[in-house]
Amino acid sequence: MHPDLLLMLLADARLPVAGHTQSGSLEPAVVRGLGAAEVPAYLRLRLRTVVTVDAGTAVVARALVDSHGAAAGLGVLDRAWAARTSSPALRDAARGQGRALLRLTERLWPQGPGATALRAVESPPRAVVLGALACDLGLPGPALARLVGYDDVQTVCAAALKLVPLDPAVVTGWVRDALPRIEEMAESVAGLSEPDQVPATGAPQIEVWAQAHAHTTRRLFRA
Amino acid sequence: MPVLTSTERWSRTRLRVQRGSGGSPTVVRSVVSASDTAAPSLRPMLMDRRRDHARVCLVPEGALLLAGDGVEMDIEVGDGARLDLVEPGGTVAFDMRGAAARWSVRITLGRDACLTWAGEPFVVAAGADVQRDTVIRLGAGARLALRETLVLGRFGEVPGRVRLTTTVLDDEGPLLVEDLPLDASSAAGLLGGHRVMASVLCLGPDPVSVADDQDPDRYDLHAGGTLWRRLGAEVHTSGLGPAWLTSLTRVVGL
Repeated sequence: MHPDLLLMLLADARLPVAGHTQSGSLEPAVVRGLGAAEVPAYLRLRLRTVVTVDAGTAVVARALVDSHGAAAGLGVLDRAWAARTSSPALRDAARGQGRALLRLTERLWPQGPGATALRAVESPPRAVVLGALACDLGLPGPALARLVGYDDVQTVCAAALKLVPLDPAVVTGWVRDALPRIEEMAESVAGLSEPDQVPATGAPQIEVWAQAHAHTTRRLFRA
Repeated sequence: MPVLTSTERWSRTRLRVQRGSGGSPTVVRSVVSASDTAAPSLRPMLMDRRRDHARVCLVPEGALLLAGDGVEMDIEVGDGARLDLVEPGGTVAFDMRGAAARWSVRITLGRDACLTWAGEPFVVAAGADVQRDTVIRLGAGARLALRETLVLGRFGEVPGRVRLTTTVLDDEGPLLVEDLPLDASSAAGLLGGHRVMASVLCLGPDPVSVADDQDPDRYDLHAGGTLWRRLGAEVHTSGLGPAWLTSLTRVVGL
């Protein structure tokens, strides 16, 4: 199978992994006054921080399965990721998304070494699942890192359309304008191979928003 | 890390605390070494020494923190010992006019050791450029309560530049790893434009009770321990007093 087709499949919002429940913490940000004009800067902030951590984690998961197969110690990577994600709300959201992607992996691609290695980890976050799956599907590291960046940008932009009155073409322009930043981010993590190399670039303000959102019941998005 | 040249003035403060044997008071040893006599340093001043703990004040000697300064602290608390660290006041990193400084703290806690460190504000004035690294290693059963307040810019001033890295490990792996490159432009996003970031880190075998899990400033870490963090405009409105008291109670059983 050509990797481009598999990449499109994984990047598609119609993939049944509950992507529509996520706003990338945009909802609590908007509730606390982030305006539509600030969304492009918010996309860039995420790409520099939390998305770099997730993309780095995914790339390392892929590299570990590539080198060690089903015996890849993804638990060590899970702990490295969790130590870099101090907000329990962000960890819960990522583990919830991981569960959804894991279910799909078990149904469609249960045979690969990555799928086997994932069974040794309790509730891995989406980045770890995606990285292991990418290895099973033969996706290269740089493509995987771009996928993580692109998915985050689209997640925030799709949520923006539901939260703020906006012209969809304007929002698609934001996605287009973010593409070079996605590429930069992907290049910065594409060569990583060990858990302790995963970047630790947190964003305290995003963590504050994520925690506040987890404590409210009046919300459109889960996270 | 900023490129450091041989023009750096550095000092290294080594502080070793060990439990006294057979009911004798806690043993405190310290050595301060420096590149030259003019190098600023932190001098440990023993304030109290008992059987079960010692209290030490880290007193700055010389003007801190200026361009070209490298201040290192290496703190080791031995098995079963307890150290309480205090500071007489905050630290200001001044305008470095294109140069840089570094501030490096290494903490090693032995088995069942305990450290409380009531840090005072660390102010990064406009024009300052500081690499501030903290590495903490915890032995089995070790406990830590650490308070830190970062202030970007003095009152009415734009933020200086600081790269803040924190690595906390126990025998099993990392508990907290963070790398925050902060300056006038990045702080707008990373800290939402706030100039004060207050933190309290509480680590140890007994988790903080879940009774106040609605506390919006509280981050329970995956591998154990709790970080409280609050972003604010002013130091006096960003305090985490209750979290600090909770941590002290938890860590030393006050």
